[in-house]
Amino acid sequence: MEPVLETRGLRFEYGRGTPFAHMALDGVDLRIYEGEFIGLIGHTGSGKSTLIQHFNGLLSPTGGQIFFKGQDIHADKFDLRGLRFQVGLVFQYPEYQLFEETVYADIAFGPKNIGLSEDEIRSRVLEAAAFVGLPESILNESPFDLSGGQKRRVAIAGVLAMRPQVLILDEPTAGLDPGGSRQILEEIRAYREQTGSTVILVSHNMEDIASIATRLIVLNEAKIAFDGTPEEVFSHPDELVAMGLDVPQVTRVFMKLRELGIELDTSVYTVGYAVKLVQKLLAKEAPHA
Amino acid sequence: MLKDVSLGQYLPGKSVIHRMDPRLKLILTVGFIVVLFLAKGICAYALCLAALLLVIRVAKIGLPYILRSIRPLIFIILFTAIINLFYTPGDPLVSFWIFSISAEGVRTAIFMALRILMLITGTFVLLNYTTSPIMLTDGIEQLLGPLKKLHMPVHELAMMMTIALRFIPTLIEETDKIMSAQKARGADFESGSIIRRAKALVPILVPLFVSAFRRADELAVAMECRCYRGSEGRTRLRTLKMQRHDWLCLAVGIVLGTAVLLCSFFLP
Repeated sequence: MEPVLETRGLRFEYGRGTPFAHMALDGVDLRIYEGEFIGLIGHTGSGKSTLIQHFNGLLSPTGGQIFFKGQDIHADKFDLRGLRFQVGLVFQYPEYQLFEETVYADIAFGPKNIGLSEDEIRSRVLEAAAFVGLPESILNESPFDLSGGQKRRVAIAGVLAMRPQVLILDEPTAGLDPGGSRQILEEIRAYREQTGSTVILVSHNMEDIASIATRLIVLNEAKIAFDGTPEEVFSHPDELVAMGLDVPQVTRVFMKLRELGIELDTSVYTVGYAVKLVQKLLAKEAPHA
Repeated sequence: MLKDVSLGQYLPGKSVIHRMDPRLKLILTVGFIVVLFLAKGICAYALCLAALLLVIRVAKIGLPYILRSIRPLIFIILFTAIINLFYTPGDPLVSFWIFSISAEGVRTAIFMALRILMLITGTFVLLNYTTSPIMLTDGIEQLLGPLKKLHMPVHELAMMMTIALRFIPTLIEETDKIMSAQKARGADFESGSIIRRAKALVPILVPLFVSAFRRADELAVAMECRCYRGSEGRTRLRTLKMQRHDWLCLAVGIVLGTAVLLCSFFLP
């Protein structure tokens, strides 16, 4: 199967040729396939945000190539602006980019840039608003009158309305309360299930990532440190901690338990699986008691 | 792309020029400009240039930075030189159609270009590259201190300047971010007629203004939380005091300035 997005030997250097030059990506090889739900994690400054801005051509690499469905996106005739409608990128704190007079007009900005008809734009705006749980009554209000969580939803809807095949979100839950974060993640999950699109989620929150992603990519100092299923990645807790990252709380509990001499598998990352394991263990121990 | 804009970047260092009292630096810069405009003749210009090179050498500012300070103004320098070249009356050296170039014209053009070059480089080396914005506003505030007697809000003006300087890089970064975000939604800033391009700026300007107001609001609250209430009764962490090297620099400055003026009046 052909990957949706592929990078080969991707390198990016900030401030090239100045004394402040700094390698943000150093030889990143990645293949991302259709329908995957990728969790991208890494310490601050590990190159996550730089990497995702390469996927839609906002940044041009200083070395290496990026392919979208097998086409080199920096080839001469490639339509970069068209790519941005296919690879939708939601930046960190996207609510600070709202600018229109009404919520409707703001969500319609992307579809309008594609050049769709009024009817098509309308149906897409309504669809996107529904995905993020915005009531229709809010569409004619000014985005600046909304609450922080609602503003964030409007901004995410603005990208969803372009119906991107790949949806990239940079810390979509940063600064939201736990309830709001859970809701947004749930909406993203539902969006992926209904549209079959590929999702790349950048996050610091291991619990969020563990519960939702099908594949984890860990960046460390401009390179890929781990790439695999959540089980595989979280089975290296010591390395992750050394990179300044964390493992989910349950995993930490299980690590401590093993230190105490209890035979347990430590590649546990969701509470549900943990409960099952503990029950199994208790059932085994019960006869002795 | 926007990050490449250098707005009088401060280059930290430890040279005498860096450590000089900012008040003195301001006075010396003004003095330098006055002397530069009074200077006449090859000797005076040569002396000015030598003095400038000496300052650059002492401050250890690299050539690339000097060139960078000049680059944006090259057009103005060339324009001034060309105007002077054609419009200075005198014996025509070459002439064609309605244009004529005189020997005096060539002379004035060269001196004019040199004067502007030295003016820019001098102020950049003395003020922008070697003085941190905080020091600079400190210096301005203290130099303008006497105006407080006339009920001029000197401290408030200086504070406004400090804050404005402090937020330039922040706002540039913010603009960069907002531009990227709108580009990700297909905004197009590079093509179309002038009106279309101006309209394309709305998605950048509105969020930028909103965030500038938000930042101003937050900053005001933070300052009030630390009991900031303007200049009245406010003491400072670093009081400016003229040191020995400052007096020395002042002396060197006066000697060089006088020498240039003497050269202009008594030598060719």
